[in-house]
Amino acid sequence: MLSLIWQGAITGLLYAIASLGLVMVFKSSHMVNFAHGSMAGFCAFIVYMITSGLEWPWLVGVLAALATAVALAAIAYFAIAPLITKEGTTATIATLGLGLMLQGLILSLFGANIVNLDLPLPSWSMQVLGLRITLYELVVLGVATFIVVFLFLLIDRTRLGIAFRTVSTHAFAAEVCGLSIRRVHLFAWIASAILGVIAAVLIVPTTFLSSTTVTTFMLQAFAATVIGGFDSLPGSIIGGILVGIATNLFAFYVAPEFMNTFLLVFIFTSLTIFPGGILSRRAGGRV
Amino acid sequence: MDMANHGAGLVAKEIKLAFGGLQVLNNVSVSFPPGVITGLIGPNGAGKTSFFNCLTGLYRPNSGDISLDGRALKGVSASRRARLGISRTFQHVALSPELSVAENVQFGLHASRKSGLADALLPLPSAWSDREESRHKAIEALSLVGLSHLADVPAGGVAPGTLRLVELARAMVGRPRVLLLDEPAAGLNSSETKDLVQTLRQIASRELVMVVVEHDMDLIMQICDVINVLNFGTLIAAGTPAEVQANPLVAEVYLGAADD
Amino acid sequence: MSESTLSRTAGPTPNAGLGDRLTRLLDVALLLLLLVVPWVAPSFWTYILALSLANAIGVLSVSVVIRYAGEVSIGQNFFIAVGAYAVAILQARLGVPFPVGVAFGTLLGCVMGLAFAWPSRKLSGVYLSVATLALGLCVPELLLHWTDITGGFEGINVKPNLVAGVPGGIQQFYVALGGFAIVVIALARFRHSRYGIALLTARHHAKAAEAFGMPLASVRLLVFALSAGIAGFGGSILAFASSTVSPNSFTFWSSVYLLVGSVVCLYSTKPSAAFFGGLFITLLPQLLSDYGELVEIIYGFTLFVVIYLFNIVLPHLQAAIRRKQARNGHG
Repeated sequence: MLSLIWQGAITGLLYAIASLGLVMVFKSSHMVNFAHGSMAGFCAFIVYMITSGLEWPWLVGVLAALATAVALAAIAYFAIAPLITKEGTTATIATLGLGLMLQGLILSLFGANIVNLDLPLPSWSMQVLGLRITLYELVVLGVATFIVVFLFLLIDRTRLGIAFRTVSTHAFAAEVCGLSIRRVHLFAWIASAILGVIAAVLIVPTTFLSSTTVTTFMLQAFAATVIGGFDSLPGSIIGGILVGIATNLFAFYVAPEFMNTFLLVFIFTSLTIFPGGILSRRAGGRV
Repeated sequence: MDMANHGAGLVAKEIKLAFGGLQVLNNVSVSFPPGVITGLIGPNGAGKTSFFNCLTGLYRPNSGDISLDGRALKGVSASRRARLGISRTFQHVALSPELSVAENVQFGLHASRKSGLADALLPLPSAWSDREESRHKAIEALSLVGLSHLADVPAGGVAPGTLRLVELARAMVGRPRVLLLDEPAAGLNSSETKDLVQTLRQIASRELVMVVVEHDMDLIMQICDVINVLNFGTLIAAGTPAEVQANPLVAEVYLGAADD
Repeated sequence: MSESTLSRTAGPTPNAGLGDRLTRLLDVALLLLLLVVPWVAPSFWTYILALSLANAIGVLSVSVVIRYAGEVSIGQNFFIAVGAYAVAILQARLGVPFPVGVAFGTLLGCVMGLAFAWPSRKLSGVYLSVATLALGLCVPELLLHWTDITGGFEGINVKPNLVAGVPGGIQQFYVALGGFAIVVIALARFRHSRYGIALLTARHHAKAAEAFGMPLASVRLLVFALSAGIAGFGGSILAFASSTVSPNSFTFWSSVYLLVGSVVCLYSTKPSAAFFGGLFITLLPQLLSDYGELVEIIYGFTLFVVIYLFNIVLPHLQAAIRRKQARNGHG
């Protein structure tokens, strides 16, 4: 039981990282990026192609994937940018178009096969209070902590971060003050894509890689975002860990084949108990 | 309806409203009796529209009571208040550009129309009569503001000034008990404003509670029987137009400023 | 602010009446053309057009959500599967006639739609969209679990046995055409009904709608009940028209394809437009059956092109023309 919770929390950190990406885009551009999973999946395939196909070192693969993520995010943002100001759902629908194109691209470049992608880590583990902790888990924990601290320092301390916070709360005021909204948006999109890739590359070793796995893995990230609230960065970390633990327990004690259904019920429950996210406060005044 | 039942009208008692740390309304108590046209004035940001939103149920005040003819409205949703006969116009025109002018006005009857979902989808005879009747009422209301000729034009193609009158028609079409007008003359030219004054006088009745928020002082002085003045969320004066005009405090915060 | 959007979005075209008459003419011509299809076209094309009509109903169920609620649903495959499997299971396991199956499938779709929209009825549309993603993804695993009832991977065959003695292909086609006509007529009525008016007001001014008796929660529940009902109905028709149901036809991606269909017909609920949307997403995979992965790329690309054309290019052109007219007017 304890080890299930531990493992769940570790996977949950990865959901949290992916979820942070969704929230960054939502906070800056007020839209949902449904291509988030396809973008990360595409980059994971780049890693696979370089490390397994060309048999180059891992570092090259990861750097190439990060570069691809930055490029994809920039392309995606510049394609979507003119639509962000348009009515309601236009931009969100456009991201589905983007997702379709990437999905087709993955299929035509890498095929529909299921492949394995393992991290170059020795299988080392230790026992702590009866809990078996693997090196992989420590790496995930380390990377996740680093990312969260780095991201929060970035948003809290740097000029770009301050601009990001201003744009996300008062887009109009930010424009009046002469902040470049586009630059802030671009920053959010690129950061989001990088977060997505890191999560994808770290999660793939626990399962396998196919044209659909990363897209479905993103459902966990979406569920984490719903629980955390779409406008709360700390919320998505809590949400990710909760989703990780809950899905792990569910898969072990109930039925792993009903994962998506479980997530649907999980989302419903969280919408009912924490409308607007676990950290949101009920504001008086506006009904 | 006989005289005794005209009731107390709309009464607001000690309304307080805050957004975060910002106190928008501070202990505002006003009563709006039927048969009286009440004006509500004050500088920008005085809390007039927020007060309207509290009356119609779009905002929930932090404390205080609102009642209509003695019936407490606490916890009554905006939609239920619409059914009780509270109707309004908006500071910024809030019509659907996709609908025709007549359809926009018909929406004012939404709360009182009975036809259900089956009628909406199936060709049932009962639906036809309901649709005919509501269209008829809408055109009647439109002729009251002199716009019946625009009934079938899409609202998106009508001049903004005219749309204010369409909104007025929508607010009136359901024969409301309370009519709240949020800057009805904004964007109207002088002849349109003159028509508006005439229309408002025409629809005023012994039963109707009418409240007007307006920056056009001429209009307010012409049509209102009583005027309340808000400043920074606090009621600073109330009385007849002459009394309010003579009030030095009002002149200082509002009329004086407007004369500059 | 709202005033300027109001005057910008519409701009009455002087020949709006003519355009209306033209589309109506197109609709009637299309209907007449479709009526004779089974008698003049090869049976393969009759089949494809029957599928297109059934898919057009699915497209309409997506368009209703976008048009009347301003939200995106990518979980329509769930409601379509509900309708399709209702017909198939009732026919194959209990021998229930098709019309009863359709009625049941539609009703069940409606109820599911209400139940689905309930938890997020008061929240921002973002939460709703994400919930539709989960809804869409959970369909196959549900269908593959209760194989005794659903037939597992293989699915269930649906016999076109509505009218004895009439060839199956002809039955399938006319059922699809009839179903499509019913939905299109019902939606045309709906647009001018009390609720159509309320929803179109709520889409532009939620606060105004609320002040006149149509709060956000009612908007959500009504639109999802309607959309899911149409999807359930469309699924029932699809099961009959394609003579089979299997999990592969109801994946999450099929919802995204329906959305593509809805985008290419500009979310219209008019007959000819919706039919085009259905035809597009039925025909393209057939034509490109040897290049499966291209279909998704083309879908995604088309979606982008259409959105760009109607949100960026055309408004720019219109503005340019208006500026030019204004200059000429002054000069």
